[in-house]
Amino acid sequence: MNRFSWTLLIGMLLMLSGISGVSRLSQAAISSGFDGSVVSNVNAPDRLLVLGFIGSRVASELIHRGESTVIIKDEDRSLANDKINDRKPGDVVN
Amino acid sequence: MSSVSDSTKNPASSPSRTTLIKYVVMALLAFLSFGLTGLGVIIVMFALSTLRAGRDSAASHGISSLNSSRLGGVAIVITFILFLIGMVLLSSYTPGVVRDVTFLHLWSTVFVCVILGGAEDIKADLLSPYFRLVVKLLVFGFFLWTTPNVIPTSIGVPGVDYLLSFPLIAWGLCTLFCVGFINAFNMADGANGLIPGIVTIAFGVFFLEYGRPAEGVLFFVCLMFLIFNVVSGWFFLGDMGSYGLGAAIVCYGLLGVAEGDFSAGFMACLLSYPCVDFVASVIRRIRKGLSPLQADNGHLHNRLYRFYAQKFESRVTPNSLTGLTISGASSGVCFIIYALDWIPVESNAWFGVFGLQVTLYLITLSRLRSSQMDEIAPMSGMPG
Repeated sequence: MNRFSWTLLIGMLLMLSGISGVSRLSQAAISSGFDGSVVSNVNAPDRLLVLGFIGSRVASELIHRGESTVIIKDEDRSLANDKINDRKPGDVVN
Repeated sequence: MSSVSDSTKNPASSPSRTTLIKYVVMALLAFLSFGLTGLGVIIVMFALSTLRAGRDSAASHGISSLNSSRLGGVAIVITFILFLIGMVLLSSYTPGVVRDVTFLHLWSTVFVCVILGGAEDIKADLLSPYFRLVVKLLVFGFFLWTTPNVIPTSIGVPGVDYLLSFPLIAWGLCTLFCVGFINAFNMADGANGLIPGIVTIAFGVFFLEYGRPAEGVLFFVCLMFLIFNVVSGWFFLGDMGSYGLGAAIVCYGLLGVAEGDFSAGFMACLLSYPCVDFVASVIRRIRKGLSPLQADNGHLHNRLYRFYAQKFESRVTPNSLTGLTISGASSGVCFIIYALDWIPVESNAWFGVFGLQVTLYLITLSRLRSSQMDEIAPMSGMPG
């Protein structure tokens, strides 16, 4: 591969690490039943490394806003312990 | 993929001290704001900026004196799509185009504009200006005809509200407004950080207001582009970026006003510079007996650039300062008032702020014109 391809590949892998990071945070928020621990933990070092100061807050805002509208998958449902306003899978989507 | 190889075109081949400083500044700003994810976007943008395709010579710009790439819009589209795909695959996110037919129509319209601009970026003058104008009129006409809920029924201006009460007239007015706005956006895209700054602030406001992932991703991508554009000056939005982002913002803006989330005055304030500069430029050209769409160097950003260029020797600094000054003084001020909650977004008091912005624009333009007193040479083929 030439230098252009390597540069593009590295850039895309770093971007995917961010998407994966936000996804993990969202999963953790669902698992904890949106108790606020994920949303408020904006200055955790590992989170700042992947998402940065603004990105960490944007991720928290996304999770906070998505709380009332997110789809809860069946496998996540058991982890959430039905804490989320008695919504069923697929009730409302965001 | 062929990339540019000689050192005058590609800063990566044998980077000078200045180029190395630019790398460090861009990486640092991206990392601090969006961590490794932001760094990844900057790296992707850097890779795309070295491609031979879409390169512009310095002579074709009104302001920039560097050879640079017009593929900024391509980088934004690639990053945006990659994020959406990743979010769909890795999380519970359902895109707006799936859950709501309004968003399906909205993003289809944006997509057509992106393709239209992309064709122009890949090969200049591939499509004639009239063809592009007709396509834009058709696509927005179709969008507003099939999605009438996007057309506002009232904007708080008595005469206009009367006209908007007739559905057919409202449709025609909104179609013309959308096409005019995209052209205004394209015309104002003449300095580093000007349109990227306005777009970043606009998507920041949309994200704070709605909290939807699409706006969050667009805010993030535009901020990364802003950093790259302002620090390096190697990368421009191009027609793909200005058409696509212009279409997205005008659609979101209309929808927000129609649903009562924002007042028309707030949107006018937020996007004041492209709109005011477009109207002022058209009036100036008509008074000179030129075609209203004839490109020239009489924009406020051209004059402000000349003012800064006398004070700085760098080729990038005056250009970036011009863009940041205008975007900060127009949309930036609007954002500060919004963030501090001094005026509610639904209030018509924003028309007063817009009036102040217009006054400030006219005073600054008049002062710069009288201090420079030079001839405005018409330039064909100049983007802004």
